[in-house]
Amino acid sequence: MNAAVKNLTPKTALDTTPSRGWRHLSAEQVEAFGAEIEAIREEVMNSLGERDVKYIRRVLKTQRYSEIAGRTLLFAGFLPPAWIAGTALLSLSKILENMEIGHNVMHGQWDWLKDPALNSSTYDWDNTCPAEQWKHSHNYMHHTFTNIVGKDRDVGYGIMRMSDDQPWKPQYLAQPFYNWILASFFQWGVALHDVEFERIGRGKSLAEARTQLKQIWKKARKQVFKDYLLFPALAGPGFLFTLSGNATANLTRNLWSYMVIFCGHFTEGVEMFSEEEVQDETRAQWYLRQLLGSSNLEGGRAFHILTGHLSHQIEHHLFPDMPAHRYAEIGSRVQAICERYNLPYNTGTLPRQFATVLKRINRLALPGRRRAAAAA
Amino acid sequence: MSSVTWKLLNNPITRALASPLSVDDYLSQFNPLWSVGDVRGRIERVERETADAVTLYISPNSHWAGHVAGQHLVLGVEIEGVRHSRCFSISSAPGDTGITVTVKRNGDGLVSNYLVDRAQAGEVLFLSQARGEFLLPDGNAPLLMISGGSGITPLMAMLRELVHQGREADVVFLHYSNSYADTIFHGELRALAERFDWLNLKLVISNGAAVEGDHSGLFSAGQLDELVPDVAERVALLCGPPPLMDRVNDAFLAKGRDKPAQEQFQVRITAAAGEGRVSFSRSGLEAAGDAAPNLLELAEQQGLNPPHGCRMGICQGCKCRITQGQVRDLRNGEVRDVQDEEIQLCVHTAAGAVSVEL
Repeated sequence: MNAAVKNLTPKTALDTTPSRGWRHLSAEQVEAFGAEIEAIREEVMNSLGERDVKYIRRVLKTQRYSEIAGRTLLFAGFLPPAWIAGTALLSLSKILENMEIGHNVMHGQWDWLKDPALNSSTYDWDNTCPAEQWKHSHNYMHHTFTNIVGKDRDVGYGIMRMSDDQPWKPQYLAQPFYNWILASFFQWGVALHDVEFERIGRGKSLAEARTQLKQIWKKARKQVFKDYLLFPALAGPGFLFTLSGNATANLTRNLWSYMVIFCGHFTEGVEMFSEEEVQDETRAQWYLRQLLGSSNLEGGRAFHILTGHLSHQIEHHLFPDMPAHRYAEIGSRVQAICERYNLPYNTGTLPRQFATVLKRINRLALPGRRRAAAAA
Repeated sequence: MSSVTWKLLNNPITRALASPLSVDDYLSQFNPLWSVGDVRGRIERVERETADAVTLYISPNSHWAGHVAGQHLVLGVEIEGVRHSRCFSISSAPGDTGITVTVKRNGDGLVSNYLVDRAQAGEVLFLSQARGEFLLPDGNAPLLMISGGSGITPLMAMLRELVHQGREADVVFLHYSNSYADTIFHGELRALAERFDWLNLKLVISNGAAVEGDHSGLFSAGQLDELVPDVAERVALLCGPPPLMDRVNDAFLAKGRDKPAQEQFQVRITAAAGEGRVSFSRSGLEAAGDAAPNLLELAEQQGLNPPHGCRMGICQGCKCRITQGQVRDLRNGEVRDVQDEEIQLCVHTAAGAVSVEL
């Protein structure tokens, strides 16, 4: 019997930990759960068509027009209303481009359109992180090894303690503070993500890291040049207005994407896993881990679009290559399946979910384990 | 807008402003025909040729560099939002305004059926530049053009070009068609033959009776000698369905002649199972070489989505670099070693360990 199945043996009378909410399922039940999730995937993927195309084309249009309008307004940034409107539109455009377009295109959600402008192998996003590295650290490492401490580098981005399975170090005492620096410069955190500084010399060669850094520099340089030199220079005397507008838009996008992403995996009740737990995992067990390791955000249609539908983090982790706007349609079905199998379906409003993320960051800054502390 | 305007719009500054997206990503939001370099065209009108064939009149944008009679292009069309690309011969002559492409329904083919039944004026098509080596020969040698079915299209472009040039080239135009109703350009062929002495039209109806002056039956060496007694003196050009092309080629080879210059759109592929392991170096994926009929489908099976076009070895759209390995060309069955070379994934399979840069 392998480790993964061992973990899925029926619960004992003693095991009532609510957060380990799958142990009441037998291995057969887990497979049945996986088959039901798979059936939803089949159904949706077979029904993709013109409606989906219209949706993404509309998003693209909105993003491009808001970017053009925003950047144009910033040329008149010496007028406060123009600066505010321009910065707001540019922020909107950057959020749409990174979240609903870039992230999702790079997952291959729109490859079936065969449109070279929306192809996962060639798309690059408006972010300092090079697409190729993102596809490795995010699509492959994070989505395959979701919430596995020591493998999924989204767990703390190599600098924060987000799970009590990570051994405590004194530097974590400062994490309630530098968490906000990461949030403000989130695109840079994402950009440097795949370099894995802490692994250099330990399983990763310096040469490999240098190649990656060169690639990041090549991309970041263009991003910095565009937002902080070229557009401001075109504004002439309005240099500083455009510069500050662009910087504010990048900051807004950074804070927003940080918040959405941290709410996806670090809220209260989200599971972390060890490498031993997931050895020889079946597809159904993988689905189960994705469900237990993700949490959703509640909100209206516009809110979901602005999060790139990562507000449906659970559905996204179950079906990373499904066009994201479909998540909202299948969410209630996934939730109903979870209810039938008596599995958690972690969802809440952004303020509520984010408060639990901050609680986790603050608690884990201190040594010790949360559960031990809670039991004590 | 002229192509100079586009060149001005495509400079290091505009590219830096659009980066990491392309200038086209913005331009195409305003007008789908706008691009700093890609050829796109709008369907101006659709004319029915037969029950199963239409001619699309296309006005390309200013990036279209023109064509030589006999060439083809890759035509991309969005069907329910999904882009599909196929190769088509250009049926117009270079001097005509715009270009025409004549499409015949190809069995259950998605693209041909769409174009025949549903394409409409105003639709935007994604085009390649004209390509192909099947060209109207220079000089005054007498010609023999042999075509079957929709294979008439590149030869029709050549015929129209001869008319434009006023070149009295002495052409025997031998065309095979299922029936009169199925004969594309029937009226125009008759009219041209009537008007020009240098054009000798031989229409062969393979299914059913032929009217006086035409012929019936399938191509045979005997029929060729009978219809074209001076075949030995003519430069031959051939385009048609594979069975006709086989018969014509055999007849020429039997006479001790080279095969005619030809264009074949239905590439015949030898089915040969892949061998060895294929690794996709960028994505880190691996697959057994025999898991799909060709490297393109193998990559797609792994969830990769390499760009591609015709999927039949013509358009070069799926060209991809092979770091190293042994591949089999499915068009001729040849196995060869490649290193740092771009090959068409759709007509190659692994013949040993192969590393594809995908």
